[in-house]
Amino acid sequence: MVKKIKLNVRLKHPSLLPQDYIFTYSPEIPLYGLNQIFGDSPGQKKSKIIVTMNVTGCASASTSKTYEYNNPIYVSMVGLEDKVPYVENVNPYNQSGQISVISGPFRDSYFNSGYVIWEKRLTQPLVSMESLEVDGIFKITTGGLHVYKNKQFILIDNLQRD
Amino acid sequence: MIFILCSIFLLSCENNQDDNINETNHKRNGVASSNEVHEELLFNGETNYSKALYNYPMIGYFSDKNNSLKEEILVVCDGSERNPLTKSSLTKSSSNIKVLINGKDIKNLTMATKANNHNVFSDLYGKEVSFTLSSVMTKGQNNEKTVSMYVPELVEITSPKIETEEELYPYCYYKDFVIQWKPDMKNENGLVVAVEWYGLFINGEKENKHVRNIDVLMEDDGEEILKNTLFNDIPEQALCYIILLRGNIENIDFEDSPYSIVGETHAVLPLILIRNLKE
Repeated sequence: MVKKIKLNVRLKHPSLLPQDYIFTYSPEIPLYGLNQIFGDSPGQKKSKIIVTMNVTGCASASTSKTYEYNNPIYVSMVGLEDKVPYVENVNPYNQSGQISVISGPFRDSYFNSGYVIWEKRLTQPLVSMESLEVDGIFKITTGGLHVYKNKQFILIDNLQRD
Repeated sequence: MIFILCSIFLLSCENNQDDNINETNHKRNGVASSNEVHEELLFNGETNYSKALYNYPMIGYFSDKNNSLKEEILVVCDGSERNPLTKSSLTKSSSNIKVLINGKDIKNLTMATKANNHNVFSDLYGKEVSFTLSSVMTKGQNNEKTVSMYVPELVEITSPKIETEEELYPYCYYKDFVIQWKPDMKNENGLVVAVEWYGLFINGEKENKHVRNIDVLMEDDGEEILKNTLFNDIPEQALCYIILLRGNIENIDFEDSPYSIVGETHAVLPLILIRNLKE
């Protein structure tokens, strides 16, 4: 039986000191707003929620659903103020599964580029759960600092950092 | 003297209340907490853009694009106020003047996007454009005035070239900054270039400061080394914006009132300023 269910997922900031990490794709504070994660920034549309469920019973199967977020969708699904994306239309009696939330591109204050991922394996049927808290991890995709200088981007390793 | 030289582009950056303009301008203006703008003009002299100094009600159009990945949007002014019309203000417009641009009602042009209205943009940029003002209050009289002027091609920054989300907010070294754009050899007015900072740093810290430095580039030849002083008062690792603007403006009198007729285009490059490189 498939039942519509809403699972509150609270995303936590990556476990770095605040001064070591910052979103740069929106010139707004606070740093924790989901609108910065889900595509409110100019041109940023790649944030997504992936829900993967493993169905157990007399037969086994798996299903995966991906929500790609841009700003209008995000607003209707999540709301502007809260930090709670809703996962809908999954089987609440599933025994296991995984939820992943992947941000659009971020940078840390050491000039690394990357993204933040929140992942959690579900260890009990969703029907018995009301909320889920997930730690975020910052994944670096590009290190070093490319500075635009004299018509080109050059890699700078020894930038003076205060 | 040229304090408001760049009011043309500032018009499209100010306090619009709805739709995409509001959304995108909120990005720039939303962080500005200081009412006082520390403004420095690096150019002395009279240019065509000086006509904007007179602070007359604007009639015309502007292209708004807040970074290279954003869609170009057209906004219009119908003379009812100095700021551009938004969708909501369009219905409240108190203008008694009917404005036609190339024979089309100006109100039908606002918020047109380049993707969906390519013909609109191609008719309004890189062309001789006619602006016709007619009085809608004077019954039985045909009071009409037409101004034609060349409005340059849409301006586009080609270097630093921003093509992906990951490239937004490039780190840029302030000395001898080379900017390139698509030139328009028919544009005799040059370009306005400005650097604006709303007080925000990459590390999230924020200063209650708003800096705007402005220069005029005389040649529309596609490349310029910006003056280092254009980045004055903007510190290391600041999130700031380069605005490149070109257009045309004529001041006229119509029914005993002055107006500025404007066709404008500007491009915005958000960046993180780097001052200190160990070399």
